[in-house]
Amino acid sequence: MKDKIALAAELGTGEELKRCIETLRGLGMSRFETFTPYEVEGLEELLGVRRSWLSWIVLAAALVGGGGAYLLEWWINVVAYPLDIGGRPLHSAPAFLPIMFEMAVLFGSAAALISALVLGGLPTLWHPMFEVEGFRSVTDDGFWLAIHASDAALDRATATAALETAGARRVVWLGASP
Amino acid sequence: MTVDAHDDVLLGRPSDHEVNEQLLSTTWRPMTRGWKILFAICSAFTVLLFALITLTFMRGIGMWGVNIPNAWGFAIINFVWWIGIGHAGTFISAIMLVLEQNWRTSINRFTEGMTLFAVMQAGLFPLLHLGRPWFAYWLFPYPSVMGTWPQVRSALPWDAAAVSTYFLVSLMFWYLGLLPDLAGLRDRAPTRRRRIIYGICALGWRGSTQQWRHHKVAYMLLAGIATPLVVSVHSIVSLDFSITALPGYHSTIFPPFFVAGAIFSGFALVLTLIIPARRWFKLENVITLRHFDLMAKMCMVMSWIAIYSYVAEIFLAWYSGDKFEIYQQIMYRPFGFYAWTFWTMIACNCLVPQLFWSRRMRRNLKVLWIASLLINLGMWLERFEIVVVSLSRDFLPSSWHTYMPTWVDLGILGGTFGFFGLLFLLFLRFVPFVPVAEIKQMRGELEREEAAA
Amino acid sequence: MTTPTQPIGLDALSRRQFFKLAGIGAAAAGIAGCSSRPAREILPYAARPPELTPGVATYYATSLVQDGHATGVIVETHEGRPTKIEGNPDHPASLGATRAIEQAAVLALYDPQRTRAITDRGTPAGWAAIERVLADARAEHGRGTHVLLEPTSSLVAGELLARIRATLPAARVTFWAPFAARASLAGHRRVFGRPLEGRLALHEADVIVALDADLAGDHPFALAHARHLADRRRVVDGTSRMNRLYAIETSYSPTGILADHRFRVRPSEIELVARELLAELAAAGKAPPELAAARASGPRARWIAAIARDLIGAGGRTAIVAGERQPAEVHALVAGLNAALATTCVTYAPSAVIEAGEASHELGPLATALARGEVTTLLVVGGNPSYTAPADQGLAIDRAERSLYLGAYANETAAACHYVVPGLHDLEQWDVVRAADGTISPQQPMIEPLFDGRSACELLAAWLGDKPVTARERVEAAWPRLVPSASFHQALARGAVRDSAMPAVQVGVAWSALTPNPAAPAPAAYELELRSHPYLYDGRHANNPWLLELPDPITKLTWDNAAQVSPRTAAHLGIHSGDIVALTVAGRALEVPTIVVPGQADATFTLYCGFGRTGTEGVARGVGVSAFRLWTTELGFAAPVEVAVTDRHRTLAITQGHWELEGRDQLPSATLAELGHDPRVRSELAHQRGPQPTLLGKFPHTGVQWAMSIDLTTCSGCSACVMACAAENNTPVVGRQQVLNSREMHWLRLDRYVTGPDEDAPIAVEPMACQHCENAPCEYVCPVEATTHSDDGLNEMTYNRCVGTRFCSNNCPYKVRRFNWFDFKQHSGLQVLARNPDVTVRDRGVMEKCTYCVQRIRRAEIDAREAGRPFQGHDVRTACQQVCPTQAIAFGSLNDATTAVTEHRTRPHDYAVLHDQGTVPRTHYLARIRNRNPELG
Repeated sequence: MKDKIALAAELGTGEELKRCIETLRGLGMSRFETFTPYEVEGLEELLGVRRSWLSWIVLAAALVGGGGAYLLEWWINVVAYPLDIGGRPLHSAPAFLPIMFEMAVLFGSAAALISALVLGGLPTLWHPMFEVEGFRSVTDDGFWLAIHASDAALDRATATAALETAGARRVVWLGASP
Repeated sequence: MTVDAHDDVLLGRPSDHEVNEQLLSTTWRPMTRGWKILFAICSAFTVLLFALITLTFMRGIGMWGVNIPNAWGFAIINFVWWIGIGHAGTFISAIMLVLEQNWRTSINRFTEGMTLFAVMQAGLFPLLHLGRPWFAYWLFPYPSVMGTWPQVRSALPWDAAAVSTYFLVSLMFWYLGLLPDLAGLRDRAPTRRRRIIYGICALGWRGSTQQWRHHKVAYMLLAGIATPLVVSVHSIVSLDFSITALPGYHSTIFPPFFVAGAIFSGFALVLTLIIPARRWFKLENVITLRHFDLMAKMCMVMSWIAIYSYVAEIFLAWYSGDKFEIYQQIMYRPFGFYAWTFWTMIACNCLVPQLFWSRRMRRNLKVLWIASLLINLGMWLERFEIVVVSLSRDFLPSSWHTYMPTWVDLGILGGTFGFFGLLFLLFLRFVPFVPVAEIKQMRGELEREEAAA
Repeated sequence: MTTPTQPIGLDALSRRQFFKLAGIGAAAAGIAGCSSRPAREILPYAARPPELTPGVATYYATSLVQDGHATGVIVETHEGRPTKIEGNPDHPASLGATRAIEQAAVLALYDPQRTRAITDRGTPAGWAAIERVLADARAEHGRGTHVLLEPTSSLVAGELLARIRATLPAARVTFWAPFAARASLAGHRRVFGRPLEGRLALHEADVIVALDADLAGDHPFALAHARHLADRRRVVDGTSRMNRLYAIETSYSPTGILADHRFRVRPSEIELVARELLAELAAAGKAPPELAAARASGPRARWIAAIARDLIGAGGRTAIVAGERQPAEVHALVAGLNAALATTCVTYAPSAVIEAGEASHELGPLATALARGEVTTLLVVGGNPSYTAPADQGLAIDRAERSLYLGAYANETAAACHYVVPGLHDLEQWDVVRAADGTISPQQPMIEPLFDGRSACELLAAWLGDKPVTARERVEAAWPRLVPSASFHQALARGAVRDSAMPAVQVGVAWSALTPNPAAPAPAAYELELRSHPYLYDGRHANNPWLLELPDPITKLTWDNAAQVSPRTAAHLGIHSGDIVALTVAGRALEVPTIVVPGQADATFTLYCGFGRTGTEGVARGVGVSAFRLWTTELGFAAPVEVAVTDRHRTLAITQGHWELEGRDQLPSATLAELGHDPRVRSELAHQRGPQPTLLGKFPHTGVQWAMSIDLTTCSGCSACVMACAAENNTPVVGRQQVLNSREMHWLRLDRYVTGPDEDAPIAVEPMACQHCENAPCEYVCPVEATTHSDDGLNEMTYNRCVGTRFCSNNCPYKVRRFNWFDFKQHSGLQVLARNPDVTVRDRGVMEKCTYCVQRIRRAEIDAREAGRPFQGHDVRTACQQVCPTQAIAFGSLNDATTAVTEHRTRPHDYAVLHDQGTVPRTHYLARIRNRNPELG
């Protein structure tokens, strides 16, 4: 994702997009990136993207949150202030659980949101694709396919031709890398 | 009226572009006159709310009707009621997502918005009802120079944790779902100013596969986390009562009873709000009669859980043989000073929803709307039964005393309606309240299923 | 005060603001008054008196006087500022206890509405002006000069009055107080030939019959009576011996609450009851046979015969007493009854009050003289005759050429007089007075007069033209003459002179004086009974907010008076509590709200005097209505009354509207016999104490573990404890409007329940304050550790930590917690000087409650540590315990076998309220035991 995008094409539907990728694959190209208004079934598999490992971050955060909360509660009541509260035991485990649970939830959720953004490369208010004519349609009904300049097999003429025959609404050449 | 189950959660098969135009345009379409009038009214009530809050802070909560023994009154009732409202939102957007109920798609953001604003109202009250609200932060653990800490055997710190967690998680869930549509507005909004503002909010979302990939998982995870959360929050709220020894509070069935009640009232308020909104914004095709049909059924289910709880409470009071419980549940509530609130509650929560046995009623919006109002009233009264009626007749007859709200109590309750309405109107105005991307995707799924069929 | 229409919360504020305005000017003077120097200079304690350590309270003995009867008290002062009054154990009229009135006297000292300066028709004047008036009053042997005094037993005043008689023979001296003893003296004059007072040795009596006599309540010797009654009623177990108290009365009184048997009769029936009792005795050969004619018939016969047999069986260890409200005839009959029973428990002695029983104690002659315009100079010394004069006599003070009022409060009489001279509060007074039994009790000031006031003696001396001397010089100089037997300083230190009571005299009853049986007047449809208020007395304390907010022992009414009426009569008239009726006596009508009271005699109304004040005192004005307007000399305190129900209603500020137990067992009661051998009763009681199954482990309760035990058999509900608690713990006054919304702040309340089904409605009282539960439900629900448990078993409130969630109150099964709904505390004004500096003044928005007087506990601990002795807590007494006239409250450590609390725990009628809730309260109770007459069941 880091390297420059050489060619971008807008297609009408997710299905077209997937077909194009297959054709271009046939032409030996491999370094694709796609932009879609909503998730397209089967696209990830096609691009060989593995399932997000974000869930593990969330689990860790939840454990830290919950465990930390319980530890704090224990420390407050048993170490810091061992008071006789209505004759209840200092270490009243059942009473410590609700806050433990809530903190696990809070930390887990925060982790989920933050890592979803960070791993998705957000926030980045500027991206080369935004410079592309008509890219706005990516949130409307445009399914965009981009080929990275680093793709050795990329050849402007063949790619453009292939895309146009595949029914691309628009094909934009952003210039190959030297 | 078509009968195909799938077809009528989305009428017709608008193209992605049509969906985009229709749903985003709510944010730039000129404001209707009705919206402006409502906005004025809500603003007025919001001003009233904050005026009365100021008065209460200046003079003390003696301005309210609370007394000894009724040390809790409207504030706690309103808190429980508002927080309950929120639950339907999370229920619809999270639990139904996990259960893959695709009909939730068109209404989930709407209900999430409702959740957020309801929880904001609810969040006011625990603060307001304190004798010394300026020390509310003492309920949270922080290394203070006094070296003091919260007392976590009490249900109130649990509340503080639960409610703030609930609000934050709802907010995050809502925002994550909103992100693609904010990007949509960035790309479509008519004026440059809007495009810039929405663009900043969208954080540069561009729907790349990477983004969708993590977004999907995170969204599912948040939904998965929110599911136990929504159950835990009202359970913990119910513990404010059930950890005490007070007849009428001291009850083990409260957690499930409260959660069901919360979702019950929540669904009712969804109906109350979405029926007019759908009409004003001409969304008959995305929010269809089938949605109402299903929500009415949910209400009926929840109503039956409520009925069961009422019966269980009375039965257990009798079965326990505890003279205090028997007096409270069997003698005082149905026949005592506040009997009228009890019977109104029964009428609203137990009888009204039985209308929904009839499909015609389920799909008659006028009936639905009025019923939803009655259910909200009934659920508020249910909390009144628990909070006030229990306190006014406890163990020692010598301390018995009734509770009467003051004009300040009523004003604050009314004020929160205004404040809620205000926030909601702004939400309807500036955010696409039907999730665009999800609708597009749902349409895709529907088409595929039809193709398969 | 305020009207119910006012928005909640406003009246408390406005009242406080009133206090501020009124008090601010005086505050400086007040504080200056605290120093032991003249009020002009405010000096630091640079050279402080040797006996005084700042921060440590000092205690002095003195006496508080009512209608010439002294009650010995010990006054706690901080840096010369009186803050708390306790009873004087060495004083026979106190025995260490006080009534609510004495407790509140300390607030009255700082009353911002006290008279501030000498005025002549409202304009400031000097003492010289007064001396001119007095000089004129000396002219031609004081002709045309009338002095109106309160009944007094002052030896100093006695001397001066004797000299006035001698040098100013033409002057007239009158004594006046509406509730001063008159009927009993007249009655005894009839049978003994001279006006004598009955003296009761109740600690020796086995059977006591109170005929409309509130022995433990409004009797001048009530504190001693209460103690003596109670000492014979301390039940250890079923085998204990108890005296038996019969109360025969119209309206409920503390004595009626204590009674084993209580019978409701109309005021006019009391005389018949006395006659019928005498007749029974006569029939039994105890009295002249001709008196036997009046034997009872009808419903009364059964119990009167039973009582008579009980009396005869007691073999002279009996006491029969009639109340001062009853006419002379009844007192004569009672004297006859006591003589017939040859009782050793009732003796007769002359009154301590100067000229008691003489015509000079009637207002009539002065009223006539005024009406005729024969009065040139009227000197009113204390009292408030303009307000308390009988309706049919009315005191036309304005008809006097010159009138002068000397009094501490700007009341109705002050308003009516030309000259007003600030008087003294008892705590500013030098004097030598007598208790009801004649015991000589010195008065010494605790503080410099706040407003340059003058004593009655000073005025009389000035009238005589004496050269001015200081009050102390006057008393010290007179002492050797007045009390040759005792040392002045010992007397001051002790607060009383030993064995100085008036000796009893031998008397014989003139039976002929007892008319056998006059035709009883046909009973009126309704009868009205007028009583002195248990706290306001005759209205002299009506400006004291503490007393106005103190719930009535029976009705629990505050900030109001209302006509008490029985449930049956109320039903018959179709009225409920608060409905306003018009009562008409001899053509004089008065509209009052009614209040329904179980145990009130049917077809009777009882109304307290002391309300409806119209003076300039801001608190008293407009509270209730004045019952004196229905009081006429010819009809007395009980009169036939016509009743007209109006359609108006006044919501009454009642702190406990509920009378029934609701089938709950929070206040068990039994008869002595049942306690002895009724297995059911015994096991029911046993079920309310002892260990309970629990999952909780026990915290180690080592060292001193505080606990309380309250004996309900000896609790009369007199409410002195509630007042003492308020005085000790700075609990604020909230006003009628807040009481209406159940926001009163008293840490201690007296729950009273009707414990029996019968219409005589046996009432028992249960003092209810924080129970200091070991497993306190309030503690575990507090989110901020503001209420926690101390090592010595106290349930402690940390006010500074409280955020005011009120969760603790919701979870308190006893509902003994109080919340500061507003900023109730008074910020400025004279009355803040009455506060106890050892107790935090609570802020708005925090919870508060009984602390077992923790400040006293900690003080005792500190003293023990300083003295280097181990702390056992034997010397700690809570405010409520210390003040209790019947010593119903025991307080001490559970880990100490020698304390009363541990012993009480072993008694068969020991119980804990709501024991089944598993709160393990540290306060236990001894169930109410009644010594029923087997004949009456």
